[in-house]
Amino acid sequence: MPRLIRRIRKARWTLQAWLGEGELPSDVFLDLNSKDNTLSLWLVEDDNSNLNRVLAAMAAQGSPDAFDYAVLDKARLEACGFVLERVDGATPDSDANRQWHFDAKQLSTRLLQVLADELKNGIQDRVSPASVKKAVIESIALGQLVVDSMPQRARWEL
Amino acid sequence: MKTLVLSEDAFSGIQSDPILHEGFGRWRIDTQLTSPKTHLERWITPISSAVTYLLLRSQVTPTRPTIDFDPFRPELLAATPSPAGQFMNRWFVSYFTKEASDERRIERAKFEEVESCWTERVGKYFTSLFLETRDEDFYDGGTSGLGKGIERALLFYGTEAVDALRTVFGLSWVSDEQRTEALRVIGRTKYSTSHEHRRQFLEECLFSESPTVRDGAAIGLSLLRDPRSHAALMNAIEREPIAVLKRDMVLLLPDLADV
Repeated sequence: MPRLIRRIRKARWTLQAWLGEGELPSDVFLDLNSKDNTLSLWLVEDDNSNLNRVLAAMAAQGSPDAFDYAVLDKARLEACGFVLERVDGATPDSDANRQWHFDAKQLSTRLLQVLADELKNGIQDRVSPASVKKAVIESIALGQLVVDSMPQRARWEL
Repeated sequence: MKTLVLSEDAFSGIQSDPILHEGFGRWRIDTQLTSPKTHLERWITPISSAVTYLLLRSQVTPTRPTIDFDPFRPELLAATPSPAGQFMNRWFVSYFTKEASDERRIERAKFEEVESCWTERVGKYFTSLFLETRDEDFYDGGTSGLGKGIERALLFYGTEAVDALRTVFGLSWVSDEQRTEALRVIGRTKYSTSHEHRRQFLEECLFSESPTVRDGAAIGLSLLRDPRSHAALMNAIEREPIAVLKRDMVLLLPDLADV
């Protein structure tokens, strides 16, 4: 079952005690800030074999930080009307960009609402900053991440 | 006065530092900084600034670790440095060249006067910064305007910046999004002079009324990676009423234990 992941800030989704049953806080849309009505998603293999690599690729775009993400069922999204297209990503891992990056295109506000509900159900445990850093360093050592393509700040902080 | 010569390696470090590069770019730091005595006066501001930077980065703490100029008033940087800057320029040169101690004592007294103004200034700076970034969106690992501004203040104002942040956090119009972003930056920043103040502030925020702030504080501590905060995080975990936040805090504990 192919799955897609999106990086979020978990605190926006889970810490509001005042919410009613089945409701989502409006701040979750900060994690769904589409550009050109498009959102970036990453494909994770069934056996999670590429999860650390995808995580490292995304993390290498910025400073070391905690990594919160949610998992989505690709087939379920497509059934809901999402247009999912494989498009090269922009991380410092060019192979990961080519293999596993998807865009969810032609998003409407209705689909964003659906996506928010799906993300809420797929929120995963947090990956700590130290684990994120370790994954990035391992990915560099394996030649997956091109250090020169990483932002200067990310290189410096590593 | 002896000639102060710093290696090219030291300055290439500054050039590759995103914060310092931006700050020092105004003075066109380059290899001319290995200048002989005749050029020392011309380059005195960047040299002393660079020395400050190197002290901060190399974990060496001088007797009065602080800054030599006001980075938030570019008009001063472009022309003559501020009185504080003039003092610090001389202080750093004397520190490294062992000039007469009498003169240093007199200047230290002047410095005490100047220093008291800085706390007020950095407070105003933060108020302005938080107002300007109220509508900013923050992302994990991202570089926000708020984050850059806080990093710069921590670099140049050190412990005073942390005290000022504590005050700004109490303002009602500051959002929890801003607070949690600030806490991550406080944890991520490496400047040793403010380390203790930052650690204490993060630990205080573990017990904030806002769960979002408590979450940001826990992440900030895991970025700071100081094992001395292990007990505070354990205490916060025990008292945390929100199950999901408690679990996330537990996941961060190894970051403090395995340093």
